[in-house]
Amino acid sequence: MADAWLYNYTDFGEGRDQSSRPVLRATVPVSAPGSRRSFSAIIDTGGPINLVSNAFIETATAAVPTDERLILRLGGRRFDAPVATIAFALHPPVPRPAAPRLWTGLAAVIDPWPHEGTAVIFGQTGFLDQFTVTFGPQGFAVEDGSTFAARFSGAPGS
Amino acid sequence: MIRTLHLEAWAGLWVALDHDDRVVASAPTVKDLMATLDGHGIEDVEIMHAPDPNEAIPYGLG
Repeated sequence: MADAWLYNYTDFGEGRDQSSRPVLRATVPVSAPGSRRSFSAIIDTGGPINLVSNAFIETATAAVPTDERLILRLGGRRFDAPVATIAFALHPPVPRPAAPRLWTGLAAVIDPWPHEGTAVIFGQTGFLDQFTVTFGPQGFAVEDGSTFAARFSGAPGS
Repeated sequence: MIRTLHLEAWAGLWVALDHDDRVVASAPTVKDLMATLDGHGIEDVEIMHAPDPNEAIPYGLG
């Protein structure tokens, strides 16, 4: 990923019967490395760690369980979620002809998956510690994690 | 730049979209959807859940 990948916000149609104002989600396509079937993943800047469903895990041949478990609340339910190390492939925005960006990150595995919408949620550990993500009114950009320090000459507070 | 999807006809189902955002397969569960994709040899798709426009909008913490 030598340059920024620019993504549109996605309007899945949530709440379309309630309001004319679209509900916009920052989503990116992600799969297991080598797979040509991606899942739409929501970027949640307030989420402490990546969350994946069993549906995604079943496609992730390189998922390695850790000894860690996290107690999480999601969709109004409490989960005792095992944490795994998972290999991911971030796909570029369509129709950009670029190879997926591969990385390995932690994710908590949620079962049963309580959310409608996506089978993957990207949070701080496992995604935002890997990429620089810039949100703007017209869309958002995903770049290498090192971009932030290079652009702003240091860490926050420096 | 908004990617507006029109998934009302598949509300409540898991769907697979091609690069033109056309639904090429749908099923009640991801497992069933993957079986359908396998059965038809369908690749190069993005998988998501089609929301019901009348459902509450998911928001925030927990």
